[in-house]
Amino acid sequence: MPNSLIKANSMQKKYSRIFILFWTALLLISLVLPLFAGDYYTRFISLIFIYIILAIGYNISAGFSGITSFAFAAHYGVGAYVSAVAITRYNMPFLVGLLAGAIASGIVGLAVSLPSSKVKHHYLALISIGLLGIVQQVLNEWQWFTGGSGGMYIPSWNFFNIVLDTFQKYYFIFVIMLFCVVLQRNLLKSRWGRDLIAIKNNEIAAAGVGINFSKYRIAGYFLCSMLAGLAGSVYASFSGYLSPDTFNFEFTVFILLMAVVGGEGTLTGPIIGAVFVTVIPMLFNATPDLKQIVFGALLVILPQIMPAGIAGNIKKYFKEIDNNKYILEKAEQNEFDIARNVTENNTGTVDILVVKGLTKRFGGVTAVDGLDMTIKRGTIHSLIGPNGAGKSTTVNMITGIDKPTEGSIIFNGEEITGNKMFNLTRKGLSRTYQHVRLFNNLSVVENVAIGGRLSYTYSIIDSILRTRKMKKEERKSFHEAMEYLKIIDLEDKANYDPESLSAGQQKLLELARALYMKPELLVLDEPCAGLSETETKEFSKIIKKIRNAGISILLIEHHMDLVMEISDYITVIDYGKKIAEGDPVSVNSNPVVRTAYLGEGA
Amino acid sequence: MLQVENLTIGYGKTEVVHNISFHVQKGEIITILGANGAGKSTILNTIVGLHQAKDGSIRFQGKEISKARPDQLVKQGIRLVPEGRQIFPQHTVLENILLGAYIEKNANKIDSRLQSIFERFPRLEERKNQMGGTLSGGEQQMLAIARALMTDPTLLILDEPSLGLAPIIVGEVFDLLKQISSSGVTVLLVEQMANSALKISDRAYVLETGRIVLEGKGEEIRNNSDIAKAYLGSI
Amino acid sequence: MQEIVTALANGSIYALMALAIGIIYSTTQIINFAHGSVIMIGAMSSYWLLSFAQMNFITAMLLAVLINIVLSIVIYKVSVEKLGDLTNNSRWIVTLFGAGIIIDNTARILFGTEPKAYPYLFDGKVIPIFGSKIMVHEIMMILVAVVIGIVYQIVIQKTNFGRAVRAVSFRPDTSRLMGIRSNHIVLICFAISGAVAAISGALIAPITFASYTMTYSIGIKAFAAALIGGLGNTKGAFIGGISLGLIEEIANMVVPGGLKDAISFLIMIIVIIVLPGGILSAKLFNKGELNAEKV
Repeated sequence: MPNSLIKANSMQKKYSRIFILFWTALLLISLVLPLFAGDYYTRFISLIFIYIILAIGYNISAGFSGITSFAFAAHYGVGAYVSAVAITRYNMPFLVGLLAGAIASGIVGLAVSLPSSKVKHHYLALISIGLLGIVQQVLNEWQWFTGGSGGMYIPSWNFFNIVLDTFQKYYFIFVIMLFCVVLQRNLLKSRWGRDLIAIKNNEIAAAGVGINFSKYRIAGYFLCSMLAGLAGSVYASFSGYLSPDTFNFEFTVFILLMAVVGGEGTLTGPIIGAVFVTVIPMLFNATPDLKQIVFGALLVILPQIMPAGIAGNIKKYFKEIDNNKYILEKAEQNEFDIARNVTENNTGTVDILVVKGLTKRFGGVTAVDGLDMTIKRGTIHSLIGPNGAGKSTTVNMITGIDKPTEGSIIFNGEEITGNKMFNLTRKGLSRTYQHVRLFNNLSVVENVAIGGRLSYTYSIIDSILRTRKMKKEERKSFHEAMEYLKIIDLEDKANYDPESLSAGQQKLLELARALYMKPELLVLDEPCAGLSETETKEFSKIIKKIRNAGISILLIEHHMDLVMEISDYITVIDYGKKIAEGDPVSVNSNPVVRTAYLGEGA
Repeated sequence: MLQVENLTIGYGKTEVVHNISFHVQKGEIITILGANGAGKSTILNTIVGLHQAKDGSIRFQGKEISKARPDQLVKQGIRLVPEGRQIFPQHTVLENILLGAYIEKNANKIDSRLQSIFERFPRLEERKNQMGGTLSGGEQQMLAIARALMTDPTLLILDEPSLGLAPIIVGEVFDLLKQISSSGVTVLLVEQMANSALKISDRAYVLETGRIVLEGKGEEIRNNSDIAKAYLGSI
Repeated sequence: MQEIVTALANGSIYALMALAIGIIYSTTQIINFAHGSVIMIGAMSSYWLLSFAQMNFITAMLLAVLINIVLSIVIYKVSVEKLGDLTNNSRWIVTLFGAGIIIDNTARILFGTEPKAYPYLFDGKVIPIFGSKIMVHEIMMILVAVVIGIVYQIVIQKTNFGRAVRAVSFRPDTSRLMGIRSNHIVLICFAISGAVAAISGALIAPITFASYTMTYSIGIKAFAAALIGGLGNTKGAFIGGISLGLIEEIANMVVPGGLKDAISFLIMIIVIIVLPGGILSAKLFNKGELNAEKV
C-alpha cells in the first residue's frame, strides 16, 4: 500500500467527518427552523427548497450532461400547469398531479434532447430558447387550459383529504427536496454519473469505452426536465396561483444564475446557488430594474473568473473528499495475471480481423486505397508507413470512427463495416489514441474503472438506493482497476487528475483503460510517441505480456526498433496502399520499404 | 540569427519539450530530426508565436521574441510552412498566395513578388484560378512554400515538408529548399525523412522525447550508422 | 399579392438578421446569443434619435449603426475574448446570454416599457402595383436587404479582408501564420454584425413597434431564419429569412394571432431535427459524426 494513498485516506476521513457534521447541522437547523421562523420566512425557505430541486435539474443537464438549456423555465412551467390542471380540472389526487406534471415536463423536454445526436450543443441551446417561446405563448393563449394571462388558481393543498398548512407544506417540500439531493448524489456517484462526465469530457473516448452518448444525453435530459417539472408541480400547489409571466426570460436568468453561482457540475452547487440567488434579490427590493442588470453582469463575469462556482472553489481545499474508498481495501500480494481476465473467444476463427479492399476518400484525396490485411489471433500485427500514409485513417475505419468509402471489415467472423464505435467495444475491440484521450474530470483510477463499465449489471434503481448489489459491483470494479494500475505502476497516483501525469504515464493509463475493457483485439495507435527510451522498453514488455495472455494486437508505431522487436507480422503502407508485408526480417530487408521511409538514397 | 536557449514548453500541466537550446546561423540549412511525438512541431509553433513557452528565451537577430505574436514575427521576416501544408482548400491558388502577402500593403511589391513566384512555380500560375483543395499533394506543398515566400522572409521554417509526398516529389521539394537557401534565405527544417533532409543540411539536431540528444554536421550524422540506427530506427 | 410582398419584406429583414448572426458564426463558430439585444438597440436608438433628437433618417441611421458597432465590440471584449478556445468550452453561451440581459434591462430603464410607434420610411406612402397597395417601406426593406447581401458577398469574395475572413473561419491558426491577426478579424466581424443588426432593427421596427421586448420577439426569428437556411453563408441566410417570412404569413392566416410566433419556433425546431444543417446544409456543420474531430 503506497504511503500517499494512506495519507490521502486519513485526510479524507478527517474531511468527511467535517462534512458530515456540517450537513447534519444544516439538516437539524432546517428541521427546527419553522418552529422559530414566522410564516413569511417559512414560506420563503420552502421556496428555496423548490428552487434547489429546479437547480438540481439544471445542474444535471448543464453541469453533467453538457446541455446548456434555456428552457428550464418552460419545463418548470409545464410541470406547474399540468399538475394544476390535473388537480383542479380532473380532480386527480395531489401526488398523482405532481407525477403528471413531472412526466409531462419530461416529455416536452424531449424536444430539446432528441436532436442531440445530430447537432452541436449550442443548437440545443437555440432549440431551448424556441421551446421557451412556444411554451410561453401557449400558456398565454390556451385559455381553457391555463386560464390565459389572467392566471389560474389552485385550491388548497389537499393531501389524503388533509389540508396542509404552511408548516406541513414546509416539511413535505423538505422531504421531496431531500429526496432529489440524494437522488442526484447517488446517481452521479455511480456508473451513470461517471458515464455522463465522460461524455462531457470527451465524446470520442466515451464512445471508445462503449457509451452510446446520444442515448445518454436524451435520458439525462429527460430526467432533468422531469426534476424541473416536479419542482414546478410543487410550486403550483405551494403558491396557489399561476400566471404565465412567472415562467419567462427573467426566470431563466434566475435558473442559470443558480448554477453559475453555486457551481455547475458539482453536487452541492445547486444548494448553494439556490440559497444565494434567492437571497440576493432581497437586496434589490428598492430597485428591481437594477437586479436584472446585476444578474446579467454576474452571468457574464462569473463563468470567466470562477468557472466552478462557489462549490467548486470550496472543493479545491478538500480535494481528498472525493477519493474512492474501495481502492484501499485489498492488497493482493501475488502478481496480477492478465490472462485470467481475458474473455475467452468462442467463435474459434483463426483470423480475428480481416480487412478487404478498404478505401477511404476525403473529397478528392484517397487516404486509403483498397487495403487488404488479415490479423491472426494472438499475434502482434504492426501497421507501419511514413507519416500521412493512411495508417490513422485505417485504424479509424476499423474502430468505427470513420466510415469506409468502400471495402469490408470482418471481426471475429462477423461483418462490422460501418458499425458505430460504441457497438464495437461490446464485440471485443478496444483502442488507444494517437493524441491521448483521457477523461480529465475523472480521477486516474476512475479512468481505468470506466473501461470495465460493460461488466456492470446494476440498474439505475440500484444506484439510487445504493443497494448491496451496486456496492459489490463497484467494489469489484475498483479493485480490478487498481490491479491494472499496478501493471503500469501508477497505483500511488490513483486519486490524481490525469492531467497531472507525465505524457508517458497518460499513454500508459489509456492502455490500462483499453485493457480493462477485456478486448479480444487491442488497437494501439502510436502508443510510444512521446515516450522516453526507458518508457518505451517498459511499454514493449507490457505489450508482449498482453499478447502472451491471448489478446491480439494491432499496433501502429514509428519506433522501428520496437516494431521490429515485438511484431509477429508487419504490414507496410504508403499513399494508402500496401507496399509490403511479412515477418520483421523480410520487411526490414525490403528495399521498397527503406525508400519509403528514408527517401531516395537510403 | 536564431538563438534558442533553455526552452521549456508544455500543454496544460504536461511538459513536452524540456530545456532545449540550439541556434541557427545566417544562410544555414538546419534540420531537427526526431520521431513522432518528440516535440518537433511544438518547438516550431513556439518559435513562430502560435504557442507560448513555459520558460527560456528565443532570440531572433538579437531581439527577444518569445512573447511576440505571429503577425509581428511575420513582419520581422520569420515564416513557417506548417505541417500538413495547411493551404486554404476553398480559396483559389492565387488567393492562397495573396493571403501569404496579407501584411504587405504595397501593391507594387506584391505584384513583383507574385511575378517571381510564378516564374519559380509555373505550375501554380497555370492553376491560379483553381481551388487550393484540388491540387495534388506536391503542388499543395509548393503552394504552401510560395505563400510563405510572398513576404521575402529572412528565416523560412518548414514542418515536415515531405509529409505524405512521393519520393520523387520529396526530392523536388528538397532541391527547391536548396535553391531558396542559396538565394540568401536561412532555412530551419523539421523532418523524419532523415536521409534526404540531412543531404541538404549544414547542421542537424536530433530530438528525442523533448530533449536534444545529438548535434552535428549533416553529413556526419548521415554517415554515422550507429547514430542513425539509434535515433532513426533500424530501417 | 400584398401578403406576398409583406412576406418577402419581412423575410428579407429576417435574412439580414440571419446574415449578421452568420458573420460571427463563420469566423468563430459561436452563435451570438445577445444578437436579439443588438437588433433591439439598433431599433431603439434610431427611434430615439429620430423622435427626440429630431434627426433625419439617414443621420439617425448612421448614428445607430455606430452605436451598435461600439456595442458589439464591447460584447466581444467583455463576454468572448477572454474565454480562450471557444470550440472546447461552452461558457460563451452563458456569458453572451448574460450580456443580452444587461443590454435589455438597461434599455428598459432608458427607453421605458411602452412600445413606440416607429415611423415608416416615406411617411408610409403606398403605391398601387397590379391592383394591390404596396407600401414603399416594404419595397425599401427588400431593396436594402438585397443590396447589403450583395455588397457583403462581394466584400467576402473579392477583397483582401474577405479573403482573410474566409481564411480565419477555415483555419484560424494557419491564418495567424499569414500575419493575419485572427482576433482582429473576429472583432471586425462582430462590428459588421452589429452594423447590419442596426439596419435590420430599424427597418422592421415600424411593423413591430419599437420596444425593448424586440430582443425576444424579433431576435428569436433571427435565430430561426439563420438555422432554417443554414448558418454561416449568405445564400442560406436569405433562403432561411424568406422561408420564415412566408411561413409566418401562412401561419397568420391559419392560427390565432398569439400563436403565430410559436409556429415559427416550432418550424425551426423541426428543421433542426430533420435537416440539422438547415436547408442549405452548411459545410461547417458537424452532423454528429465523430469524424469531424481529429482523432
